[in-house]
Amino acid sequence: MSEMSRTILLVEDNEDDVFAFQRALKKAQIVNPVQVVVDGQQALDYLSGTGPFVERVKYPLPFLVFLDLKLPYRDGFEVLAWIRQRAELNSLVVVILTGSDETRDHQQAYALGARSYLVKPPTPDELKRLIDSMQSYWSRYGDGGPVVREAR
Amino acid sequence: MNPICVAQPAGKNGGAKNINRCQHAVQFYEEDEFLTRSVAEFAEAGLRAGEGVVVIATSAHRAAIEEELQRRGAPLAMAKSRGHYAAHDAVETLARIMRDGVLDEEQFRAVIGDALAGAGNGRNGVRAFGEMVALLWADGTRAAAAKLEQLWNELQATRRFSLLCAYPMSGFRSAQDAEEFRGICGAHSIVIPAESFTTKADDGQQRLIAELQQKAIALEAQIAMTRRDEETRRQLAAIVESSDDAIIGKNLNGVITHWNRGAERIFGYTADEIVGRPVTVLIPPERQDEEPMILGRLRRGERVDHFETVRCRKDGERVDISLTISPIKDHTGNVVGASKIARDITIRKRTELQQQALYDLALAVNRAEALSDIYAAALDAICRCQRADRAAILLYDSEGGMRFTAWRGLSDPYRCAVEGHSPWKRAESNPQPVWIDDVSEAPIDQHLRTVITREGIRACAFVPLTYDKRLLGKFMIYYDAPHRFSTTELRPIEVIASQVAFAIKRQEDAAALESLVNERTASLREAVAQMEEFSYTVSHDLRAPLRGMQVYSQALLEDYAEKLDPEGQHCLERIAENAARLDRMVLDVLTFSRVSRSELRIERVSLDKLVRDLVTHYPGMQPPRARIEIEPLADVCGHEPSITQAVSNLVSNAVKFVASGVTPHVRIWTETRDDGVRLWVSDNGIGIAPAHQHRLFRMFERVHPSPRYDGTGVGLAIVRKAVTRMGGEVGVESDGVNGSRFWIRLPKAEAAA
Repeated sequence: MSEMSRTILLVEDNEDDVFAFQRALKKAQIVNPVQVVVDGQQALDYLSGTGPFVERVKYPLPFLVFLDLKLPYRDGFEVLAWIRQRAELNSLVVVILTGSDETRDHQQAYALGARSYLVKPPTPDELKRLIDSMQSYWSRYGDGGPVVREAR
Repeated sequence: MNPICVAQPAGKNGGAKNINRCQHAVQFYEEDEFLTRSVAEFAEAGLRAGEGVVVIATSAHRAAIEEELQRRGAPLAMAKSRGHYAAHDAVETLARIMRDGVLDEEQFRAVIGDALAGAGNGRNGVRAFGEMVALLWADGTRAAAAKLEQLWNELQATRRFSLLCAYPMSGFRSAQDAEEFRGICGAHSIVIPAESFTTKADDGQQRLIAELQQKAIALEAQIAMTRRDEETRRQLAAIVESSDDAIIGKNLNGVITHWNRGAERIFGYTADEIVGRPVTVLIPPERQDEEPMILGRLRRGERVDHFETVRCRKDGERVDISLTISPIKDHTGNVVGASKIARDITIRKRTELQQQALYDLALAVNRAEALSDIYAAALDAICRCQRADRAAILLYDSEGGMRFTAWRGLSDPYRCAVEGHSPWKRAESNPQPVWIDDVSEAPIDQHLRTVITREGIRACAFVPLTYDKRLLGKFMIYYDAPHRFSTTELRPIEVIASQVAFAIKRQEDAAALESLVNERTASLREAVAQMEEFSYTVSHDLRAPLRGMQVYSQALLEDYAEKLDPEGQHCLERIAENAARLDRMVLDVLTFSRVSRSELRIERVSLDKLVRDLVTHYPGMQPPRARIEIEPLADVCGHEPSITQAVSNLVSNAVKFVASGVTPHVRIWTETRDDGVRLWVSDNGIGIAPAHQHRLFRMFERVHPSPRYDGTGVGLAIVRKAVTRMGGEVGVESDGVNGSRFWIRLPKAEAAA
């Protein structure tokens, strides 16, 4: 990943949750482009640039993935495990977005290399805090990092 | 030489009447009549010669003598009236001349002297008859008799009188009496033989005759005794012969010398067959060393008492016996042989063995882990009870055939050949044992006979194995030789059969129970797994629509508020609140379900740390919103996540249920009691009226109106579920006005090592 992408990928099959996420992001004044895929297989295709996502210009690699756990075809854990096996996705930050604060999900997600864990619906504050907490991590890519904030 | 008394030979006629003065004659007699006549002659001669007469005799003799004197026309009456005839009782006189049980010389001289002087006063002389010596002799005080004779002799040396003594021959019946008899003769100057001899003889001959008479009497007595002995011996022999026990005589070389009917019955040999043969014939080869031990003890003169051993019958069968062996000694005390009394204890031994076998089986059945252990123990018990080498257990298989299940000493071909045979029908409700005493004579199929005979079996018995009137199988008992079975004999086997049948049934029941338990456990596991899956689904999928409702109503309220009038806004708020409330309820139910299912790892838990950490995490429990005082808290035993859940619910409630405008004030402390540690959470809230307290810990029970106090009605149910699963208890104290005091009791933590 030579050039830092500004795309956020949301892997979520529930359109209400997509709405809630996008609204919260907006309220947190984060205006990065968001790409949405609706199942685990699409997530893999998007990230590997295959199938309908072969055009990288149109579907750029994200710098941040919000990943639901309960997904059609391949669940969030499978997607997460797949991501962590790909060297080129090494710096990709994965945040789990889940409907329930279940201990067993927590543990598995962190064990597979998730960066963080948010219970749906995330509030604008939560999103903001989360992204702020990773600012220093992204800062080393220069250019102020990938996060695009709405001008006040 | 005595100057007064000169010893003279007795008169030639040998009678008592011609005894001269100074002569001391002895008269032996057999019949009292003869004595009476002799003494009467002696007295008559004295009276007629003008002498005094003293008679010291028993009352019977005195009377007889006086009667005889009168019959003879002797001047008795006159002599008596003048004191010339004095009769004294022998017993009384004897008493008078004794002092302290011993003859007293002075008394003798005084008493007898007076008697002689009285009768002889003014007479030509005096003569005396006395039989005190005979009384002493008959009493067995023979030395005293001899002493009295000597006193008479000494008295005669000082006074002139003639003296006649008398002894009945019955006092000299033993051959051993001969010497003393001669001594008595020697103490007298004249010896007059008993009546059997009437011929006149000189003194020497008379003495010889008297001695011969004594010998003859002794011989007669000897013969009579021998006859009595013979009779006793015959009786003893009859007793020995009729004894149930074997009574055997043997010499020191171990050769049998005597053999009674009992021995014949127990060992099967007749006396003719066995007398003269060594006793080792009866001893089994493995016990041959017993005989030298027994003989060794006998030679030392020791007895062998109740020695329990085994001997062989003539037919080769073993017999359990209890032996008592005593040495037989000859008259010099040398051991010359032994008498051996053998009691047949086969039945007792067998009963003991059977009891032991049954007892061992009962133990084995209790300890058995598998049916095969029980079969092995049962075979062992059968063989021991029956003294059989071979046995088998056959049980019905699923196809209804009796199959060998366990066996001992049977070949594979044999088992294959006979399997399936049964003397009973399967439906038979009360099958009885069946037996074959001798296979060669039994009315059985020729082919079967051949098979059985080839296996070396000569006798066998079939004992049914039943439970609750249901035939399960059978026991088989086999003998290599013909065997006389009996119903009584097989009774212990039936006991074993009932034990084994019961054990089989118990095992079947246990197996059925176990498979049932396994089945139920599996279905429970599946139910739990399904429940977990369901919970997961609920938490992820059921909550999604609620989330949607919240998100959209929130969006409306935030972005379109200005387009709604206050009622429209209120409606939206109510939608959002209800969605939120339903979500909380779903979460609480999930928590309750998790608390109910989760595996509990019980460990020592520091309540102090747990409570303080918990309170720190909730902003609603911090000042100024609430004041929470925590005293130092004790440690308990429990599952930390469950305790956290319970305490968190209690403290949340304590903070939540306060009157409006009141700052919650919560106090938390522990109290250690015998039954555990109580954690108290007291508040200054609105309290719970005692009437409602019993509903408090139930699911979805709410005792306060919902608009003011928001709750799902699940929190305290979770507390109770969590605490009771850890072996604890929950409770509340409240008057319904002045706050509440909730408590949970948990097991104490073990004292720190």
